[in-house]
Amino acid sequence: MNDCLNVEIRELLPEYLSGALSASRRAEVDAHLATCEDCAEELTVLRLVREAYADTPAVNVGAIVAALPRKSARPAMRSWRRNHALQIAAAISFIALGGMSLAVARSFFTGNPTESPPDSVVVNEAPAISFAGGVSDLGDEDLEALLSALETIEALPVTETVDPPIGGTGRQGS
Amino acid sequence: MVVDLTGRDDSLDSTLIQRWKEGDERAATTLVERHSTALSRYVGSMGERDAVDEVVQDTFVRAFSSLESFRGDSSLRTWLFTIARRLVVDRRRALRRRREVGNLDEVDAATEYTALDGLIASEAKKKVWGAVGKLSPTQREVFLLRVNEGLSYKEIAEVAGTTEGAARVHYHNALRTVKENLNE
Repeated sequence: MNDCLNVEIRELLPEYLSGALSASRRAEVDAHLATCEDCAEELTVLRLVREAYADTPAVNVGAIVAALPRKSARPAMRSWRRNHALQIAAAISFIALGGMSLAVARSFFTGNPTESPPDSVVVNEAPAISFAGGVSDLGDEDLEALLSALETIEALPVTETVDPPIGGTGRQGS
Repeated sequence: MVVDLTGRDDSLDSTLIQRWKEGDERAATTLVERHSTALSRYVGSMGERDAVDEVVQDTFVRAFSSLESFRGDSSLRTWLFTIARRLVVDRRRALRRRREVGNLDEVDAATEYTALDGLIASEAKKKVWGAVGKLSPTQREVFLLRVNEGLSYKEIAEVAGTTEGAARVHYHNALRTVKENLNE
């Protein structure tokens, strides 16, 4: 038995045997095998080898699966958090901004700026506040004033700071 | 759903791994079903017939323990073969150490195919086992990974810790030797 000089085809014989070739490649090998005795014999040898080792020692799939580490929920939650980090950050910012807005609104309407100056927000201490009659009860001037006050806190840092002296600039960390 | 159990569809493995990471335990079963046969054949061909169950199980346990960090640089199948090979090597090393202190029944792992299996095997099988058995351990491993498992030279190089070129040379030398042995 000699080695065929068509190395490309010979290299395809194991894949041909395992059925891993595309239809076109398989047809190419078939055409070659029809005319090449050496490759046909080589394929026979490879087939004999595969058949000789075909009887695989049995393994207990159920036992293997039972021995596998359980997939806990925590990594999945970590993965979920990682995938939604932007949304979570946005939600936290929105809630924090809402709390700050309420604090500012309260100081605006109570006329007591020392209670919660714009740059001394302590988020977890922001008092719950409600408009007695709702925003719809505010007049045009009051609404404009409220919007102006909200605009001044857009660039506020999110970190907690110590109360500055009254009459501070209202801006930090820019 | 019909699941391909040949283990060759890498994209299906990726999907199953992702499903398992999301908590789908059935995906683990499918992954084991897809790869356990090839792994047990490989471990058996390495001469570990009596420990196939144990080695294959340990392979999956190790793989799943670090599946979170599996980046998919190589296929899952190649990765599993690599783990199995390492376990076989470790096992052999431990056996050798025990032999050195003299408390191990001498068993030549490489010839285990000729024991019980030989009694019930056909003459053709015995002849092939004999021909393959004359190969060097490296040649035999490369040859069987290529012929039985259909691994590419690149994948074989990853599993066996060699180069693609060396794997190709080992395969062709092994093939020539097997042909000669079968024609004797």
